[in-house]
Amino acid sequence: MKLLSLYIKSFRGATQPVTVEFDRSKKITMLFSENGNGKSTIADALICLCTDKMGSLDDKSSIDKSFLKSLGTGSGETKITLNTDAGGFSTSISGSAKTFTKNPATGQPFLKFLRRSQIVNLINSQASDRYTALKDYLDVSNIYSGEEALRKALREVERDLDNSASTLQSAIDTLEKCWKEEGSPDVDMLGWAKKQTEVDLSKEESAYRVLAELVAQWQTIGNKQKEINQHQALVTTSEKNKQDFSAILKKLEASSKKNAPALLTLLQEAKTYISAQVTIDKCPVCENGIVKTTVMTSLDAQIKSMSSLQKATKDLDAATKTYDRNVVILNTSIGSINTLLLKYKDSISKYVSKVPEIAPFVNGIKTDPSVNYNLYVDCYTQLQTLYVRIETSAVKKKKSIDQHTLIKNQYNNIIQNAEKAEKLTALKSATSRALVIVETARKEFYDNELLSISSEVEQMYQKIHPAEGLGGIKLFLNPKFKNSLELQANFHTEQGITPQSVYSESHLDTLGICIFLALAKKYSDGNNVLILDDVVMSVDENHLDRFIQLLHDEAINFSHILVTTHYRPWKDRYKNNRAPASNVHFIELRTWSRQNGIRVFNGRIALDELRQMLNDTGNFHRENISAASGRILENILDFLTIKFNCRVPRKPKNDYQLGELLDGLSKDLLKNFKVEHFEKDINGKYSSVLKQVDLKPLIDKLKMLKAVRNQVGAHYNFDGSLVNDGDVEEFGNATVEFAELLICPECGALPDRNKSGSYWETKTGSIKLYPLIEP
Amino acid sequence: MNNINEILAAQIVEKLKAEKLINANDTKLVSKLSNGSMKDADWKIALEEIINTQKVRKSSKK
Repeated sequence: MKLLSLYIKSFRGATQPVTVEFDRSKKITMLFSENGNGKSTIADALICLCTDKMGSLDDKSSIDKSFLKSLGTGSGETKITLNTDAGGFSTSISGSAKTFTKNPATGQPFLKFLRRSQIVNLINSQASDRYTALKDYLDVSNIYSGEEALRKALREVERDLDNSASTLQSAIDTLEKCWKEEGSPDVDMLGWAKKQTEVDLSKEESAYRVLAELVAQWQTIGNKQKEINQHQALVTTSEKNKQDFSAILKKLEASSKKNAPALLTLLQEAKTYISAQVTIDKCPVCENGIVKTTVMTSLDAQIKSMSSLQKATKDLDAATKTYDRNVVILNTSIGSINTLLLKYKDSISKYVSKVPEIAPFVNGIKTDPSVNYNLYVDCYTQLQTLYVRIETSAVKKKKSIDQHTLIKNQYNNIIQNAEKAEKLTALKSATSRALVIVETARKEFYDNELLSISSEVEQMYQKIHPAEGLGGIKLFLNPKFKNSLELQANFHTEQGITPQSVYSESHLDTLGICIFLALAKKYSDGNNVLILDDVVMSVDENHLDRFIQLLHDEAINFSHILVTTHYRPWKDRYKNNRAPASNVHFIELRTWSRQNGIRVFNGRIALDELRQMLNDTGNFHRENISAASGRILENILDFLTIKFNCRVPRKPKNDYQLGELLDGLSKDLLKNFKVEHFEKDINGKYSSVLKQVDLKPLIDKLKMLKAVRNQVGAHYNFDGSLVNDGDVEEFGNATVEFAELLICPECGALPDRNKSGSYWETKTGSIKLYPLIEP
Repeated sequence: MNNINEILAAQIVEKLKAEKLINANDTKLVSKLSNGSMKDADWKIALEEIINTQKVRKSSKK
C-alpha cells in the first residue's frame, strides 16, 4: 500500500489545514525539522488514523484528550484523511466528542510505530514491563483466552463424567439390591433387568387403578361420615337447647296470666302503632279519649315488666332456628353420602359373590337417602372388612408395579449413563489431547518467535556494530514468571549479561531500534507502514551510516517507512549523497506558529540545489554557486580521502578544507583514478560498461578553480570581485560533473562497497571506482 | 497475515486437524481462536462433532 497524501485539519499542531504529499516512488520519507515544528503531529495523525493508539500522547501520564484538537478549534471538526493507492481513509472528531470516528470503520492500513520513549521503556524497564512494551507485537492473549476456555471445557467434561459415573454406580447398586431381593434370578443381573423392563404391566396397572378407585371412594365416604357425625352432634345439642328454652317459657307463662306471649306481642305492636301517629286522642280499640304520652308511658311500663318473658321468647326463637338449620345441614350431608353410597354400591356389587357379607348392603340400597344411610351404618362392619381386603390388594399391586418401574428406571439409567460415560470419556480424551496441543503450540510458538526475533535482532545489530564485541542478543520468556520478557547480550568476553549494565546509551538505543525493527519486519507482509518517530538522538558518523544502510536494507519489508528526526547529521547524510538519497523523499518542516500552523516544504539534495542555481540563468548567484560547489566538493573529497586513506594535514577536529582535501589525493592515486558507469541489461542488472572516465583531468581542473570557493563563495575581498562569472560557472559545472561521475543515478549514494576486492562500487552496481586502495 | 494471534491460531487448528480432533472442513475455529471469542461450549461442539462422526461411522460399519 503506497501512501499518496495526508491531510490534517485542526489536529494538534495543525492549526491550519496542511497536506503532506508523499512521493510514491520512494519507500522512505524523511520528515526533518527542529523540535516543536509538527513532526509528531504528522506521525500521530497517521497513528490515530490507522491504529487505536494516540501516538505520542500515549506517553504522557495524564492526557487531556481535548488537546487532540488544535488550539482554537472549539467545537469545529478535527479531520485526518489519508489517500493511498488502495483508497482513502479518514477519521474525525466532531463537536465535543473526544474519540475518533473512522471512515471506513475497519480496513485501515496496517501500521507499526516506534518512538524514542518506547526504546527507553523497552531497554530500561523490568522484564514484565518489557513484555508490556512489546505486547502489541507479541501478545497472544486471544489464543491464551481460547486455551483457558478449553481448560474450562475439560474441567466441565471431567465433572460431567464424574456425575455420570456416580449416577451409573447408584443405578447399579439399586438394581443389584432389587435383583437380590428377587433372589438373584438369572445369572446376569442386567439380562434379568432387561426382561423385567419388557414385562407388560398394563393389566396390573389397570387392576390397580380399579382398586385404588374403590379405596378412594370408601375413604371419601368415611370423610363424609365424619361430617355427618359432627352434624348429628350439633342437631342433638341444638335440640336440647330448644327444649330447655321452651320449658323456661312455659314456666313463666304459668307463673302469671299477664305473662302471656300474645299480650306482650299486642303491647309491642300497640306501642309501635301509637308512636308512629303524629296526633292521637282516641283509643283505636275502644274509641275512648286518650293522651298519647300517657299511653306510651303506660305501654313502656307494661312491656318492661314483661322483660323475662320477652327474653325467654327470643331465646326459644333462636334455639329453634339453630336446630332447624342443623337439621337441614344434616339432611344435606345424608343426601351427599347417599350419592357416594349409590356409586360405591355399583362399584362393589361385583364382589357380592365372593364376599356375601356385603349382599344386604348391595341389595338393600334403594333411593331414600335416610334409608340408605341407615343401611350403610348397619352394614359398616362388613363394608370396612371389604375395604381392608381391597386396600391390602391395592398396596400389594402398587408395590409390584413400583418395583417394576424402579427396575425399569434403573436399567434405563444404566444403559443411558453407560453410553453417556463412554461419550464423555472420548470427549475427555479429545479435550485433554487438544489442550496439550494448544498449550504446547502456544509455548513453542512463543519460544520460536522470540528465537527467530533474537536471531534477526542479532543480524541487524551486527550490521550497525560489526566487530565491536557486542551482540549475542537473546530475548526469552522467563518460565518462572508470567509475561516476563528477559533480554540478554554478550559484551566482549562476558556472555549472557544484561546489556543495560554495560552497553553505552547509544548502543542501547540502536539495540532497542533493532528489536522493534525485527518485530515490525517479522509481522509485516510487506504491505505495512512503519513510522520511526525521532528514534535517533545522537549517533557517531560511522554508526549513523550503518544504521541508515540497515534501514534501507530493511525497507523492502515495508510498503512505506516514515522517518521523523530533528537530528540534522542524518538529514545531511542524504542531502550530501553520503546515503542513498535517491531512495528517500525529503520533507522539511519550517518554524511552527499558531497563526501559520505546520509548514511543509519538499527538501532537496545539495547537488540538485546547485544544478538549479546553475540553470537559473536569469538570476545567476555567483556567491551561492561557489559556496554550494565548495561544500559538495568537500563532502565528496571527504568521502574519497577516507576511502583511500589519503594523507591530509593533521587537525584536531578533522575539519579539512577544499584545498587540503584535493591535495590529499596522491599522484599515484590519480594515475589510476577512474570510474566506470554501467547500463542495465534486460534483466535490470548493471552489466555493460556505458562509459569509462579518468578522474585526474577533472581533479586538476577543480584544483585550478578551487580558489573560487573562498574568493567568491566564502569571503568578501578584492580578488573575489576579479573572478569572472565564467570561472564561477565552470567551477560549478565541474563540481556537478565530478559529483555525477561518482554518485549513483539510481540510489543517490557514493560507491562505498567493496565486493570485488579490486574496486569500490555503488550499492546498485551502476558505478565502479578504481582503484580499491592507493597504489 | 499480520496478526500474531491469527498465525498461531492457524498453526493450532492445523495441528488439531492433523490429530483428527476437529473436523477437517472446519472454517470458523481459526477466526474464533484468533479474535479471542472461543468459549468452552465452542470447544465442546468442535470436539464432539468429530467424536459423533466417528461413532456414526462405527455404527454404520456394524
